[in-house]
Amino acid sequence: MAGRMITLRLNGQERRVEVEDNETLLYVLRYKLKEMSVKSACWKGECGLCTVLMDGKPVKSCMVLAVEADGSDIVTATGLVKDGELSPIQKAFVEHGALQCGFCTPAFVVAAHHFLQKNPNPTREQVKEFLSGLICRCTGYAQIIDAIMDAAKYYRGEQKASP
Amino acid sequence: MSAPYFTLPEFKYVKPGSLEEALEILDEHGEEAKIMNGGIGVVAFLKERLMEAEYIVDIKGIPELKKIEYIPGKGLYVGATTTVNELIEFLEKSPEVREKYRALYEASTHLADAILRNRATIVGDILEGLPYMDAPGPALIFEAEMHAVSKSGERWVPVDGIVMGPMMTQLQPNEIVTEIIFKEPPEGARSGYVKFASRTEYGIVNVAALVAHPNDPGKRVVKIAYTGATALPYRAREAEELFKKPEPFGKLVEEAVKVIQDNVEVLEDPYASADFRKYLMGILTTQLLVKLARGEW
Repeated sequence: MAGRMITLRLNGQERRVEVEDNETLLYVLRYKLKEMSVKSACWKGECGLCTVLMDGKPVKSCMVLAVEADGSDIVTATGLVKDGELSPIQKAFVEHGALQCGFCTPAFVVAAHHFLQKNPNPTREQVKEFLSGLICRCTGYAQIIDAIMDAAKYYRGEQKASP
Repeated sequence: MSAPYFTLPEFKYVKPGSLEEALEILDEHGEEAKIMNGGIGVVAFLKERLMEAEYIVDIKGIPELKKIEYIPGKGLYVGATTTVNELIEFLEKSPEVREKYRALYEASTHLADAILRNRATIVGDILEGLPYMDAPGPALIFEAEMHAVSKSGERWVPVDGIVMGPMMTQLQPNEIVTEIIFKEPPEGARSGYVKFASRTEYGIVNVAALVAHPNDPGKRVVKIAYTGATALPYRAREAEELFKKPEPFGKLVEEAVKVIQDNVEVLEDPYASADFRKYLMGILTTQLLVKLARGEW
């Protein structure tokens, strides 16, 4: 089958890439655009580790066709880093030890970034509910929830992002 | 790359910009063309090679399919491509509508997960046809109907009976569902939704129920529907009829649960036995109906 060119903004940079109609966004981001912060695991919408922000909303990129992303704005964990400095949510994950193997971390930080932008004053219960579509097999989630609750203060504007 | 779920079979992706264009494509290609909405079902079915298609028709580019509108006295209209999160946001901003459609709101907040709900749609959830979906129960108790349009006409199809199995519906291959209406609930009604899902996000027993005027037999209305327990969404009409009898509500709940447990054909699978499902149907239905009647739900 003949491929087609799509254009998307990946972490602020315009990228053109040739895709097949039956390729997923996950496949194209990771294997064609070499955006390795997007992890592939279950490929069936359950683990959530391929989560990226598509036009501002978190989606599981294994369940999106790459052609659907033509013209869209994609943000991954890499895109949260500004001028070589981690964003507040990423720093909070480091400070709280909210990772062990780190495989799920990029998905958790982009999803948490979106969640805190929408809801900067969450309860622990709301954080847990939001995280139900993301799977971490190391931490038991406690430190992840701590990190998100702690990072919320930056999204409320109580503390400046830089230390 | 040939590991499971890495690949999808070959197809041609088309994204019509208008309903006319989409209907033209479906008319021309018939069964060869499959409609894709949020893609949660279609992409999964394609990956698992449970679906084949020459054309995947993405309907998200058709402007009029995105809509949420409540018309007092008629009902709540939800467009085919309106996502579950868009519906949740609308209901959270309109508390009066949310209270009228409490069961739909509660089912929506339990549907899949918060990330998938950015793509999942109510119409897609109902038409996917797997046993454990969340939207069909509320659709049944609110007497929902889908608006199906084709080149040769349009019709409103009741959700009750629309699904015949996974990916199997009463709809014709050349029809597109544009919207669904959840009809105005009876005056004074309260509704709720319980999802029992252990070990998995898939509900073993999901109950949607509606109760109006529980202590006034002349005006009393009770509606009960299930997913997860049965192969197809199940409206317990025989049990609902019992509530017309001039007897105390509590006594009728007991009778209704027995009628449901005696008549229903429940699923038996690795998640739960048939007996456990029947037990859960009894206990969850009793709790939900009694709490709705007392105004505690």
